[in-house]
This record gives sequence, C-alpha cells and structure tokens, in this order.
Amino acid sequence: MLVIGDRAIDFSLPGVQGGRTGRFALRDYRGRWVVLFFYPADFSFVCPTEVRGFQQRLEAFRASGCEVLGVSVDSVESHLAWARELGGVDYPLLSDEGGVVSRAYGVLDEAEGRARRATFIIGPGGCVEYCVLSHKNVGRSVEETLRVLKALQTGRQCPADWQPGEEASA
Amino acid sequence: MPSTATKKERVARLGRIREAVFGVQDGLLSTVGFVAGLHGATAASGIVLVGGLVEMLAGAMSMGVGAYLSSKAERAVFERAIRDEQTRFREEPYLAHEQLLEALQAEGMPRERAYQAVKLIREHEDAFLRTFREKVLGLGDLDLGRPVAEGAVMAGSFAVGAAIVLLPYAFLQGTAALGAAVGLALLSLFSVGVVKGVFAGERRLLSSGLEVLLLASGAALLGYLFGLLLPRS
Repeated sequence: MLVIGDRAIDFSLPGVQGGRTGRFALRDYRGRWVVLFFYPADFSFVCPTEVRGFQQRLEAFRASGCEVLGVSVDSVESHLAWARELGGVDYPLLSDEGGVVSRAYGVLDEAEGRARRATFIIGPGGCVEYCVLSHKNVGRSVEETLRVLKALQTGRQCPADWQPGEEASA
Repeated sequence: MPSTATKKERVARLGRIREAVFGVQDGLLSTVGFVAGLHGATAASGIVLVGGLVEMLAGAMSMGVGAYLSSKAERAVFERAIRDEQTRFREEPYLAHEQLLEALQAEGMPRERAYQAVKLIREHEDAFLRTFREKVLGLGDLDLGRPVAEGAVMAGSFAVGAAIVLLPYAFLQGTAALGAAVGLALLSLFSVGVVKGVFAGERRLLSSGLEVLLLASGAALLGYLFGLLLPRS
C-alpha cells in the first residue's frame, strides 16, 4: 500500500460523473488536493453510506480546493446504475475493472478481486499526504477525512482532535 | 393448487421417511438377529415370542428416545445460530443485508439484482430473517427437526419392523418359524426400498428395493461372518 510521502501513481480510468461517462486521469488534478477513496463494490449496503457521505460533503471538499475520486472494480455501467440508485453522484466514480490501479496502490484484495476500503489524500505536489485502510465491514468517516484534509492544508502541526478554526502550532 | 403452508406440511411429513426407513430397517434386522440367537438357545416358540416382544418394546423405546433427543439437540444448536443471527441483524442490519446480498450473488444473481431483491425483502423483517437463514446459514424450516414427531415415527417404525419378524412365532414352531421370520424380514426390507422409491418418485423401483435389501442384509451377513471369526469358549 502506498504510504505517506510516496508519489501517487498516475492512472487514467473510465468513470461516471454527474450521470455522464468519461475518462479521468489523476494528472488532470495536479496542483489540487485529491481525496482518492477505494471501496469494495457498487450495490452494497455498507458502501452507500460512504459514497453518499462524500456526495453530501462534496461542496465542503471543493471549497477547500479538493476533488474527490471514488474507485471500485465495477464496470462503468454498474457505476451509472449505482449513482442513479443513490440519487446522483457529482464526483467521479472510476471503474478499475481488473483491479490494475487498486493493485498498484496496494489495496486490492486478491482473493476477492475487489478493492479494500482505503483512502488517500494526495497533495497538490502529487504525493500521498494521508492514507488509511478500514475493515471491509466498517464505513469510513467522511468528516474525519475532511478534518485531516483541512489540517494538512494548514501546513502546520495540529494536535489530536484538532478542528478547523482552532489554532494550529507553528 | 394447494397453499404454500399445505405444501410445506406435506413435504415435512414426507421428510419423516428418514425415521420410518431407519426404524423399520432396524426393527427388522435387530429382531431377526435377536430371534435367531434365541432360537439357537431354545426352540420353544412361546419363549422366543415373549423375548422378541420385550426386545421390540425396549428397542422401540430406545430408538424413539434416541431420535427425540438427537433431533432436540440438533434443533437447539440450530436455534442458537438463528438467535445469534437475529441479534446481529438487529444490532448491525447493514452487515446482515450485505451477507444476504453476497449469498444471492454467489448463487448466480447479478449483483445489482441481488441488491434490489435484498432491498425489497429487508422491509419485512420476518421474511428477511427466513431468507437470511436459508441463504446465509443454509437452514430451511425442514432442517429444524420436530423432536416429538421424529421420536414417535422412529419408535412406531421400529415396532412395526420387529412385529413383522415376530409374527410367524405366533403361528409356527421351530425352524419353520425362524425361516418364515427371515423370509418376511427380507421381503419387508425389499418393500421398504420400493415404498421409499414410490415416495421419492423414482422410476426404478426394483433397484430401490434391492438397494435396501442388499445393504441391510449384507450388513447383517457381515456381522454374522465376523461372529464366526471370534474365538469360541
């Protein structure tokens, strides 16, 4: 699994955004912050809380100059239907059929052929600034990802449970 | 068309054939062995008949209670697994939904359809739990045995099997009684196979009859041959 300081491996994957299909490359987001989150599967009762959670807080991420990218090994057609089922998803859901990108990031569960529940925050310079791997049965906290993003963006040291607006040390 | 409940009840009743076949077969064989042994010791038909009746009663009780207890034990273990899953469902419904989804997908349903099916069925807790039980735990209604019915069928079947073997002793004497008992036992074993074949809708009833006859009498013959090998005192 890629860890903090590693260069985020570039990729170009087909995907769905706002009901439209297209191709999305990581390099297109160079100079911006990116939350890249992998999830096991579309049409799941655990994942929708995360995919929906990122959708609900999308404006907050974008206001912080950050784009959100979701990746699973499902097909583009599956992403289209899944996004419809969830009432629309405005950030790209990428289709990593075959799991090449998931494997490159070290988050492919080879036995199941699916991505693990991994989240990376990639800085404007293209390096991993934060990474976390969750159990497949436990959904991630979107608020925590947003908190860490904002903490990273201060460029300063932040104490435990630091919240945006609080003072960060030098 | 019969209702689902009627169909279920019918299949459950047919399922008792397990105890019926087991009970009759054991009643026939163990009683033949018993009367043959007793016949060697005393040729008096009255004694063989009384001894056989005692063996029939004791055997039927033992087999019936055995079937009751084993079925009850199995049911208790399955019920525990079901209770655990119900608790889990109430505490972590999403995980239970996910497990059912994965089970349906493993059976060949496309994921999207499996998702829709689970989404519909989860609105009805009882239907969801029953489906979960069957698809995830592999436990259908029929797997939850009925201890009293199973015990009663087992005891009754054993008694029927034993009574068939004892019947000749009520009318015949000596070797004729024993010969008739063995003959009736073999004929009954064959009939058990044929009846089983009829209930199971098998076409080759002769094979079904021969299967039970040969396996059961073969087992008895092996026991007898083993007895011949033992040192005599």
